[in-house]
Amino acid sequence: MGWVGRLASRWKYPEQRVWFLVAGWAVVLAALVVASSASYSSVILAHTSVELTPSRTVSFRGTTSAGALLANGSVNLTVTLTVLNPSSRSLALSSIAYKSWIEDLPMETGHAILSRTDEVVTNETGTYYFFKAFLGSLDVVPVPIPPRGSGTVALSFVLTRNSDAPRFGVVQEITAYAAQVRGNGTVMPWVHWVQVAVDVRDLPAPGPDANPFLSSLIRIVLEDGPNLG
Amino acid sequence: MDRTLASPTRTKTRSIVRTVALAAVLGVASGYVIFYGVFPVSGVPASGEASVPWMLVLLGVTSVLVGLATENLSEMIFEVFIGLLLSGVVATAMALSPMIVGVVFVSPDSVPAFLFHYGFLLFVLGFVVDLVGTSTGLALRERYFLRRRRPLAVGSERK
Repeated sequence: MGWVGRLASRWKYPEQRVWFLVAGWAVVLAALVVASSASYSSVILAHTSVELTPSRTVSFRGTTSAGALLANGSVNLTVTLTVLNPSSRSLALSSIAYKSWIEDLPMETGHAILSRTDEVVTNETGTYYFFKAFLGSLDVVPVPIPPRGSGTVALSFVLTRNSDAPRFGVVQEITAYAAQVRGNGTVMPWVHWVQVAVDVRDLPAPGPDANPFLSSLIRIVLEDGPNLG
Repeated sequence: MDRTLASPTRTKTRSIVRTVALAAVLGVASGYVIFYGVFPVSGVPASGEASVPWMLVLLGVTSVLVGLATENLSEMIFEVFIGLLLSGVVATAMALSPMIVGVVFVSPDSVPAFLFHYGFLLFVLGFVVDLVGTSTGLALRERYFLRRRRPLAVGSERK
């Protein structure tokens, strides 16, 4: 008698039928366990495998021939963020936070005129002062990042006297000093930091009373660059 | 071979195997429920909040079926307690499942404590539903399976 026959013969007894039901239900439970584990693993895999590749460009408009920023000039920070998604999850880039510092040569040499608070970085080559010229955070129209694909967003931030007079004044002073001592006011080094939030789009949003770790499960936070403060 | 002629050792072994197998079914159901309750957004079915009716149906159906397949009260008690232990094992294994694909994202030691912390009520729910469900299943088994097989014995005992 084959296994089908043996199973069929057992179906005659009510107690054996229960075991068929238990076995069938166990298969259903096992399928739920495997499917849930796979779904959870793919989310965690997305957390660990998604990569952020930023590129930034700082350009000056309205400068003297030596690169000192004029009062009617502007500093333009262009940030291009590419998020690579090797996972099987659909993602979307949803918000961005950024900071950019310019090396504050006048502070380092004790020739600063305007008062400001700088970040001080000390390493094996010396102590450096950095002034935070750009900072902000914004929600963007969600940029879809398909599974095993990538998404790119380009943003531009402009610093002018009208947009932020105190910061503009300090940057103007830095470029003027750099133009004086180095011959080019626009060559001062910059340090950039960016943080992006990427949402897992194909998962439901946690309820309002849900534990915070559920929100962090569906939101991937990526950073690039040193955050000086 | 007739079951009444089986050796005591074999009967005992069968009883142990049956108890462990049914406890495993309870453990898988409760483990899934704990995992689903703690991580509803990444479970299957995925939802913003864990569905209590869904969890109760899963636990209820499982425990009643296990009760129907259980032969006596002592087996049932063992099944429920072993099932409780196995539920923790299953939930932990599910939470550590990303390690199968080579992703180590947290310290594995912290996972059981995390699940116990956030899933404590689910452990309790699973235990209570298992206890009630298997008792119900066992009672139904007594009512529908065993009585049918020994109507004469019951009658002769009463005389």
